[in-house]
Amino acid sequence: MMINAASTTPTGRGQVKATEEERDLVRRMRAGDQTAFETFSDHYIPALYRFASTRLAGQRELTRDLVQATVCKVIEGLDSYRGDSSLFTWLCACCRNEIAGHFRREQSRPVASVDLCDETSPATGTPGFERASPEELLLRTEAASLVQLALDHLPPRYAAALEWKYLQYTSVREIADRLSMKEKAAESLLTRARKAFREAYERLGEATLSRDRVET
Amino acid sequence: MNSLLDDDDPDEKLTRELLEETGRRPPPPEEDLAAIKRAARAVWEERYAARRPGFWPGRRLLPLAAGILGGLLLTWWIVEQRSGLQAPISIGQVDRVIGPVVAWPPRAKAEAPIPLAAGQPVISGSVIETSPGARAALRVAGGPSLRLDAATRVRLTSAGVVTLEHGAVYLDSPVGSTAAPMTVRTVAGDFAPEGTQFEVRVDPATPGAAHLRVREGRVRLQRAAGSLTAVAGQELIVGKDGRIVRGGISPDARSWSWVAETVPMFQIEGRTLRAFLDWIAREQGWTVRYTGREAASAGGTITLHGSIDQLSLPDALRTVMLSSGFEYRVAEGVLVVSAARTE
Repeated sequence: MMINAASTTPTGRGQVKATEEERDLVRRMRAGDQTAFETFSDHYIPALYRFASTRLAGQRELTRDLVQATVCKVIEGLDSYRGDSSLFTWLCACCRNEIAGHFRREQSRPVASVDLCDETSPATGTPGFERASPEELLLRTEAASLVQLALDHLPPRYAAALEWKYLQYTSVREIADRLSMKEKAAESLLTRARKAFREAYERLGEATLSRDRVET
Repeated sequence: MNSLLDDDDPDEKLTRELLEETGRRPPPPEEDLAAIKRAARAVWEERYAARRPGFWPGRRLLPLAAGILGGLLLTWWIVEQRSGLQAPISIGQVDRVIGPVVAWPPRAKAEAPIPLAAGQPVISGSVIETSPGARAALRVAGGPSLRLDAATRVRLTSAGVVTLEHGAVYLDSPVGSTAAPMTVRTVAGDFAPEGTQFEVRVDPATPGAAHLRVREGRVRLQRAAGSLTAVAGQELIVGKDGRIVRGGISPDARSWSWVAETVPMFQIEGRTLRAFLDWIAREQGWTVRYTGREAASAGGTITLHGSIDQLSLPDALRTVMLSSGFEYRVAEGVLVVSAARTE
């Protein structure tokens, strides 16, 4: 099944276009490059899973099914990806569509039939796309989710470098070794990564505040 | 000089504080991640891997190439036969291949395996291997369906024995099958069916262990220490120390889903609705129940036309029922079929 990247591009402001690294990754995936697929698989799939999981209140089976459906459709539709948005943003948009579609099917399901694509479908009266939580838990988890989401929006090397440095206290020299670059280049990368992280964090924070809860 | 702090970078403080407060991004459950990656790889390889230079050039000619290779294999075997060696036996054919699946003919001297495709003969003594993300379905002459999960390697030891080296196989011997039952041999023992559907899984990370799940019928595990039988709805976990734990597994549990993904699709043309429903119920681990005499009798009289080859099992069921004018629902492993309500 082909999907049109333009129709799944989110309508939020401050949308970031794809980096050259992301465009190159998609190009190489289309060209059958195994390493490119591994990079996509190792970084974007876990990130998308986290994205979906927070929106599905941790329903594990549903998260797995919808993420799998999203990833498969995205891969099939790679030829139509034009880089108007970052790769992860595009993935998230597609995932939102899958999630919204799932809940629409659930709400419109007649009593005498069943959607066999989801054997764990919840009872009628399915909660909406964004489930409410106790306020204190919501504040705590939303803050953490925002940070994690901002990291997931970064190019894989940026996110990895930041986690190594600030969570594992890895030295710049070792980060450089891991990324197969010179130390100076690693320092520059960290500077760019911090800037990109701050921008993503702020952008997502603004989007959270002004988010329209009606799905496209 | 390496330093954790960089006072010249205005973003440093924010980044450090937020990350230290939040901690690592939680990794998804390994099992879920592996399942998603397998599916993604299968789609990617199907669509893009062929574009890689040197990757099976002329991929569209694969069916023709497979046929030619099959012919060469038979010729080779005939020559071997004349040389006095025991003739290999064709025990069936390949029904379906998803992703890269390769085979080594028996006593093959060459290192390079042969790509497998639907329609090729299956020869006893050959080794078949599915890559991660790939699956295959074989049809043994006489009826049994042997399905291979991703990253699985088997040796078709003889017409009645398949040796599972690693990965998982699912064997379905339906009622009416004329072939002798096929035994699955592993280092943990031989799993012999008694008219059944079952899965055996061997993990290369735990040598000597095996995991049996029985969906229908009975399976006997034969070992030097004795034999054990598991019936439908049971599973046996054989540890690498030889200890066995018995548990339960529902016939329609989600973990059987890989089997449904490998199923050779039912050919509906000219078949009755009842035959289709019996088939799909068997594949999904359901039982069929008709509500009302009308639904029950119509199931045997409605004849289907067309093809469901390109559909998934859920889509096939939805499509056939829609076009047949019946309603259905699945509840607790039962496919309930009823006549459509009239306004």
